[in-house]
Amino acid sequence: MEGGRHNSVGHASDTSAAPRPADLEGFRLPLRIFAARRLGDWTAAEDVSQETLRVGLEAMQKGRIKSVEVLPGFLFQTAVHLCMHRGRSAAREKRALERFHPASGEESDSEAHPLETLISAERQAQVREALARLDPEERQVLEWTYREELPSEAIGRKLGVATGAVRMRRHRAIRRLAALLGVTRPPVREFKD
Amino acid sequence: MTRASGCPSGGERDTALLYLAGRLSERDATAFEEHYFSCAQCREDVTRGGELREAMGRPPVAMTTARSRRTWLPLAAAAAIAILGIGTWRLTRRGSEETSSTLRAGHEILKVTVTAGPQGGFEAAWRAPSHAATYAVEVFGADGATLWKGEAREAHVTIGPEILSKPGTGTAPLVQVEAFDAMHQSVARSAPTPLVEGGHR
Repeated sequence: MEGGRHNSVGHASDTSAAPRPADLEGFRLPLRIFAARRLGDWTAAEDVSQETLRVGLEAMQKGRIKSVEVLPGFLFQTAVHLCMHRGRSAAREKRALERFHPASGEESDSEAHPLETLISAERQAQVREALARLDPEERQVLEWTYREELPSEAIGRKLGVATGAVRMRRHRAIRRLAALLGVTRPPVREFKD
Repeated sequence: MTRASGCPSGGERDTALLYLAGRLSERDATAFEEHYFSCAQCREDVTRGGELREAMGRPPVAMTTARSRRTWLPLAAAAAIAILGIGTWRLTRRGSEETSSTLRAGHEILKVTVTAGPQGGFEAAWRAPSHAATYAVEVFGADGATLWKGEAREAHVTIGPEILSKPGTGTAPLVQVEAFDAMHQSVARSAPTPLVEGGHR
């Protein structure tokens, strides 16, 4: 389950409270995305995500993370460190492989989409199912945003509405989608007209 | 419309979307990563966005770092080979505590000076070019293989002594610095400069 402090961290009103193991869960997917972007390798990203959470849990159990407030910074620094370490190890492994199998270098050049998958096939099916249950207008905004990668300004021109209205519609659509996916109380971004 | 929450990357901008699409500069992407770990709203935007992108057949996140790595490494390797002779010669001059070199990179010259750092490490420093915002620093062996890589916002960086114990650093570890402006355009680059432990001889 993903979400913010309201659901996954669980200490919305008291950031000085000691973190709980459940607070780590909301960082699982962001950690994968973070590591995948840096390493360009889904398997390595998954390893970094798991290891970061393990280190976080261990630090928590040893009382080294005193409050929920410092947990994100701890995880971020841990993930940065692990990515750097992983990157160096990968470079060494690649050089070793190339020494024994010169053709393997060509294989790595074809890494146009080495991120095989961010989420499981089951989760992808759930997301598509939830998308199908949105209103057509909501679904359209999400498709223009994530499939077509259109900026909010361009979507606004298509719909004949202001850019801010596009962002608000997208935010509401994502909240609806999150609810359909079973994410309880996703964070609310506040807007004023 | 204005945004009422305390998030600086929030409702008035598409930061999470641009991040996932690989359209932020490396500097902005890194800053946003540091932010979204602490911001539940942006973390949610990144999480749902990644899922949606993948469900719609897109890579969940574009790999800007991988692209920059592919452009940086061949340059570093080529430069390392080109100056290997000079580097080896410099490294054998064990009387000097300080060394530096310069290279015209097409736009601006960056001169890197290496001195002994704390606990047996090194301090690499350079004059800040006028439009530089960040610096990419890389240490590599004579074969061009990266041994250490980091980013700096100031015109100096400390490199730990462990670099000397890495495989392949026996003869000629080299350091190279490239400066980038706020739009992540390269504005200056140094030559690969021998990393000499000046304070230890």
